Amino acid sequence: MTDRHDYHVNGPLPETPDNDATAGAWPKTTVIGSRRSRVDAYERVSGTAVYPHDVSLPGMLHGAILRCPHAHAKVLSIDTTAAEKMAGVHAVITRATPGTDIPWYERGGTFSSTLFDATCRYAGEEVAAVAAETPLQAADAVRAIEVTYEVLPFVIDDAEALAPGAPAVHDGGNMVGEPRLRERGDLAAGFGEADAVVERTYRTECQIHAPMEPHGSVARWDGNRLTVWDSTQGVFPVQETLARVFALPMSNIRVIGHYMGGGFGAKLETGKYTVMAAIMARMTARPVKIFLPREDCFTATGNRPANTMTIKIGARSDGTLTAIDYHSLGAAGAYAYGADTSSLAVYLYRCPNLRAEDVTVYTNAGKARPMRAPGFPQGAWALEQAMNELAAKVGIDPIAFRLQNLATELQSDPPMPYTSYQLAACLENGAAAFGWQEAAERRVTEGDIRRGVGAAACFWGYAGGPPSTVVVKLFADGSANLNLGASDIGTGTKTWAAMIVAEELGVPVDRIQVENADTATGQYATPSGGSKTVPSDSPAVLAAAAAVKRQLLGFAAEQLEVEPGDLEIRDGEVVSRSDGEKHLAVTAVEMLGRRGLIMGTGYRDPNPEGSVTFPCAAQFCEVEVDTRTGEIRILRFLGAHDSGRVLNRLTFDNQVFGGMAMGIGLGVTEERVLDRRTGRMVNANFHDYKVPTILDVADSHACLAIDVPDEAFNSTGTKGLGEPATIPTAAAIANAVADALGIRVTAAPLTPRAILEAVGSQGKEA
Amino acid sequence: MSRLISFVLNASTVTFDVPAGRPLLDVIRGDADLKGTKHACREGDCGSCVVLVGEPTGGAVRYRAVTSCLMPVAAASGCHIITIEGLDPGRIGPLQRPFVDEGASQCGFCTPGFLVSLAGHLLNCTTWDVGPAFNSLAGNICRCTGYASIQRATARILGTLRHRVDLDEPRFAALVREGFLPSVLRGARALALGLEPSTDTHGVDRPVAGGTDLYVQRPDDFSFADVALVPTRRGGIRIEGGEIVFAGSATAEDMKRSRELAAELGDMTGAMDLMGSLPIRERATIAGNFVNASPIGDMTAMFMALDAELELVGDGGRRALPLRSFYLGYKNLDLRPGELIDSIRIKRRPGLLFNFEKVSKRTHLDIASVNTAAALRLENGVIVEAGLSAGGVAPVPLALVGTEALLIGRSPDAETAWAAAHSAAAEAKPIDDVRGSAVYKRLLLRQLVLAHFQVIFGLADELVEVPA
Ligand SMILES: Cc1cc2nc3c(=O)[nH]c(=O)nc-3n(C[C@H](O)[C@H](O)[C@H](O)COP(=O)(O)OP(=O)(O)OC[C@H]3O[C@@H](n4cnc5c(N)ncnc54)[C@H](O)[C@@H]3O)c2cc1C
Ligand code: FES
Ligand code: FES
Repeated sequence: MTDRHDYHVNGPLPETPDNDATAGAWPKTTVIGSRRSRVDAYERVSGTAVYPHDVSLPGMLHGAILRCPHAHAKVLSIDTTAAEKMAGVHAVITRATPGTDIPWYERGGTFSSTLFDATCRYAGEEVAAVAAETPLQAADAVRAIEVTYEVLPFVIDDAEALAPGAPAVHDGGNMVGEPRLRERGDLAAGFGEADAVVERTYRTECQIHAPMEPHGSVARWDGNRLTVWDSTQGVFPVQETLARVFALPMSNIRVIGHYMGGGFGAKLETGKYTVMAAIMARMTARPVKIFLPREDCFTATGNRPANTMTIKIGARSDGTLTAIDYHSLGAAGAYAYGADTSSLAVYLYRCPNLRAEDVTVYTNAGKARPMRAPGFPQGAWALEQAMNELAAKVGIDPIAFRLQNLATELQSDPPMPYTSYQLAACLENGAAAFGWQEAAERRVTEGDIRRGVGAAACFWGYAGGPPSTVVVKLFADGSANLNLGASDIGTGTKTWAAMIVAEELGVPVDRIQVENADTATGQYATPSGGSKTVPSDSPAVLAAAAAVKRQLLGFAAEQLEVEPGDLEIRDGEVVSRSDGEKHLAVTAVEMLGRRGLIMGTGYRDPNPEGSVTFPCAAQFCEVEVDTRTGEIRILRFLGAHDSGRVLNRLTFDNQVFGGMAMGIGLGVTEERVLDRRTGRMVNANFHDYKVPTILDVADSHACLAIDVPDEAFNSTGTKGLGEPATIPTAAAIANAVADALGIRVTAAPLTPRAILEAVGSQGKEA
Repeated sequence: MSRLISFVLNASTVTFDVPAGRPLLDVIRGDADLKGTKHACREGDCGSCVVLVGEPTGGAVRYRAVTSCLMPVAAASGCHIITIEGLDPGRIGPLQRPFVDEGASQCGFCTPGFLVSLAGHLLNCTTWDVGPAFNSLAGNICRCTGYASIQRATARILGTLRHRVDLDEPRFAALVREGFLPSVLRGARALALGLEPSTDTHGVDRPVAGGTDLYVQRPDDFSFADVALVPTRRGGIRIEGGEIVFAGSATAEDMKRSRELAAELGDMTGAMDLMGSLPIRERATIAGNFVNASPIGDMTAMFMALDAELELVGDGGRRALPLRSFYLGYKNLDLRPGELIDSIRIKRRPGLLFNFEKVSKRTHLDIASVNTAAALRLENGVIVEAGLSAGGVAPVPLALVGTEALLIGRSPDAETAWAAAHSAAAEAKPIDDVRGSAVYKRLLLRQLVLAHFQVIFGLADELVEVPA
């Protein structure tokens, strides 16, 4: 049940009904592309927005979960007698409870565990759950449950997991599936042609999503109908999972997620806690709320896996790349996940000779989940640092070196064109806007405070597609209601959706109400993630609005006695293009009044065949490094982004800056630390796990939107942004730090310790 | 066990029959059913639970932004508590407008905390510059925005107020006049002045002062318990003859704001800002820092270098004890049951040069991986008095007595700095842990001791050139 609803839609291409109105790209826009504040801004700043974490129902019980303290253990027995007798306790469930034998962690159609499995494969695995009157009573009862474990040998290190005799996380060895191998050309010949070669091993540490709203749900039964409020990125997969688990029709399950406090990929999967809350709610006939304590959010809700990447890359003295040999090792944690990182190495630069291998291993640690551009920031960390070193070896400016080698089509067999790919513009215009040359000349490589510049480029390998269904209703008073399935995970989905309707129908944004993320009342959308919400759902919104418009203009044309094609909507009026005398207020269209409303349905059209679509970006930064303390100060950052058409310039820029902060985390501050002796996470709190604060981000931020609509891809010309916003950031910082220090620290995060030790050893070498 | 606790919550007086130790957060979200205040950690680290606590003092009310997850509701008794709902004028007001226009709320979960922290800053700031404002927001984590939009919104608000509000005029009234605080709060503030202040309790084994250690370490012990509060409303920092006297309950922010202290030791802003975050510093007391006995307590390191003396009060009466004798071993103190640190004294020494340094992976919101304080005095160009401490390099906060002795009689030059740096690193007894390897901590201490000389004596290039 895990990987089916990641970013990719597996299996046959979803069915896309024909739209009854074909939307064309707008010739010019007045709303789209402007800076718009959020349609639900007041709710967000007044504290009135109700998040799932805030839901409180009459009679509601509070749940807590008992987790295995061992990295690897067999559950021999569980004694819940004491817990059951405690004050306020209404339900205690374990693997012995009927109805809990629910298969969990699916990959390729098979499940590798259950809701409460007999084998715990990481410290944090669920063993039992309690529902009680208060959260503290539930927590106390959990502590009173006695479990006997047979503690097993464990392995937490990705390299050690492959060593002979390593403890097996699952039967059949610690390799997750087969290594992914991608090859083209003749590697040996390629390196033979090279005048300069760089070979290095890079490392990124395990990063935790850490959205601010903890993971959790509230479950309530009405007879055999279940309603769940869930902090999720997609309500429909949760509905589907719950229907399967409880063997109920999907229509009996309602999942609501109007507001949610961030996910970054960690809330794409259905949580075990959701199922536990629902089980206990049914047992007790009371609503049950389970929200995880922060510690559990750190240990048990996913992560970006640590990766070790070895890259060997060669170029001729004229700067042409000749060969790339890339190897990546990553840890899935306790359950299957593909910790691949090689896509950038395979496709970003034109290189005829290549071998790229991704190996993923099981370890006795929290399972990885897709995290904001899974695999890509790690791949950029390796590739983009190696590109800088190689540029220096052949004596070419790193930006020019990248431009010279950019791939302009997908190097598949046969090659495929990109629909629109403005990476050269990202690099060139970005460098100009950043003042790359001037900044490079300001470089300081001596003294206590050094200064350097760095850049990195990327694409993101996914752009969304069907299915998506949207309904727009235009009411008799000219206001509109927009109904879509997608969750607004903070990116501004509701706002750009309203902007599209406003652009198409001329209805002011503040007269549009948006209904979303509710399986009972909403239309269908795939979960919000993978930078695919805009390109997947915005064409469906446009198609729905266009369907309304076609009907409206048809009615108005009869009334005005003109051809529908002669009409357009301007400021709430239907106006004839050819005869300015002929116009009609939208609210004066008789059929609108007689019908009460005009409804339009829109579907996401299929993606074009024979081409691929990637959003892309280049980011630039300038840093200061204090060689006495090892501290890095990021002076400024610029992101140049091609995500197709910009819908909302305000949320576009802010998405880029948010991505940068997460990249700063990966590159400079964040790291899951596991205790080698116990396998437990020792920094599972915001104190010791360092999410950047307002003082850790760049002193100044800039965003350059390339804003070229990708008209060959979809009707709105849009590609995604959330993932590319974070992919190149850490690598750009690493390049800037190396520029300042004259030495390269290859392992993230670039903590004061790492910098200080590197500077120290540099001193010794000198 | 519960008590009747009354305070003013936003616009009206409320009374709850609740356990005195229950976190204010739970009373606000649960008993008062105001869900705008969020929580994302319950450990003081994220700022999503920040509320304003207005404490009536001498006819005025002083508002401070604090993390409600670590504060016993009993400490709110008699105060004016303002939450995000209390800042809401029922529409998008001038405080909220720049956040809206700049898109500073993405998923929005952190937004109430940021707005309340910012309101706290606006009520207290002594400049309209952005730097201190960003500092006061460093205890609020946002995972979505990357803070750029929050910085822009904050800068716009400060820019507006710079032209409208005189820094010297009564701030609360001015912010109400400008619409940054809803006018109903003015009446509520007056209500708070009429409330009986809370009655403090003595003599209980583990009294709560700021709660910023106790509520993190033992959260479950308090929710349903009565609780004894260390008296926090009197005290502060004062000069008494040849001594500077600190109430045990003086907070880190009190130290930062104290004019008396600044006159003796120089501006403390930089040093205190390195400790925790504003909502923590507003509650974190000096005595709490000592008694928590963390090897890396920041105030402990400062007072070690200053060679402070504790005045302890208990059933057995009063006794004085040097801070340097207070630590017997890891988390083992010379503190008798029921005894409280009433006050802390340091000798006034004109010309004393004080400096505090610390490094951690993330600048703020942080306990140091290594910290050190230095208090040096020169006569005729040579060091005649030296206090030097280090935290994070031994099981207890360390006075570097060997290095102190070495410094006496030497001139503050690069050679002395290097000698002190090496001596300090040798005196340290660090262990490997999450906060760093032992080797790294030694290296760091060496660098930080050099930094003392750099900051105090302006040595710079000389320090790089002298070989190790
Ligand atoms: C997010 C966060 C960040 C932090 N960052 C830092 C940091 O950077 N540097 C740092 O040094 N600390 C930091 N701390 C720790 C903490 O804030 C300090 O140690 C603080 O000074 C403790 O004071 P308190 O009043 O809150 O103590 P409390 O939690 O109230 O009490 C701590 C202990 O002291 C006892 N006690 C309190 N007052 C007295 C008294 N007068 N006499 C005798 N015993 C007393 C209590 O009984 C208890 O045992 C941080 C804490 C948090 C939550
Ligand atoms: S909940 Fe995080 S600081 Fe209080
Ligand atoms: S807006 Fe999501 S955490 Fe700040």
